[in-house]
Amino acid sequence: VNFWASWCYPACYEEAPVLERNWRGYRDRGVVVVGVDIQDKREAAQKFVGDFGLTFPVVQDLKGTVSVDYGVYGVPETFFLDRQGRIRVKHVGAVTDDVFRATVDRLLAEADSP
Amino acid sequence: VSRGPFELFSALILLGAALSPAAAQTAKSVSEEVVHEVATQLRCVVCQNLSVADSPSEMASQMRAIIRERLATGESPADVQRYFVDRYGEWILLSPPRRGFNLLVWLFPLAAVAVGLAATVALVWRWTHRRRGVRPPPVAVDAAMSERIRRELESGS
Repeated sequence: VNFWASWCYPACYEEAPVLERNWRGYRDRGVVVVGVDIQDKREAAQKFVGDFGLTFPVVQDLKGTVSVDYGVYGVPETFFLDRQGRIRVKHVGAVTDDVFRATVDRLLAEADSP
Repeated sequence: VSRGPFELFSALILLGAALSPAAAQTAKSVSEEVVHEVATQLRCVVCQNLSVADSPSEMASQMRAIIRERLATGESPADVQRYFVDRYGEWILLSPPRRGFNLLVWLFPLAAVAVGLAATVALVWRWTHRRRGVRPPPVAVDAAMSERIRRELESGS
């Protein structure tokens, strides 16, 4: 679950292609990337999604309730949840390929071995 | 001037906006005073050392709305505070609770002042009492030196 905003430059702009690339690479293994756009204008957010060609689901947190529920301080922040829906890793700042792969591979390996 | 569908639509939106606060009142009415009271104790998470009540940021205004909504559902101010602490930790409280490890934060300054006062009193007492107690050690002066001092005092006057 990735919290972002169109005004969050450059970190959110750096990680958007990373998230899209890894969502495409991992979706067949049951991994879902969800973008949560916070404190943003709808048009600006839609332009961001269009510019980066994001295909994973993106929602807008209009009232900030999701952000506060996750204890978000700022953007970007990314929460990696396991199959039980528990938050396992919180990453502050832009997600890189290395961070995404290492974290998701570890959680997948855990889920595969009981 | 013909009234097109757009005008009608706008009128409906305005009507909806006018009615919605009344609809919200069907829950528990919340006084802004209580909302403010809770907000003053919470740190605005995107600003440095500003309370949620004082910050003009959008995040803070959303947090005030969340406080208002939770109070409206019947939660007590303490419940609302706990909700935020559960998510952000005690960091979000502008005053750390006075228990456990946090007590150090409250007690250490008092202890430091007490130690400082005690040290000052002890030093002043020593400085003011040393002169009376300790005599300057006698200097050994032989007869020739005494004689020379006496002569120089007499001639120098």
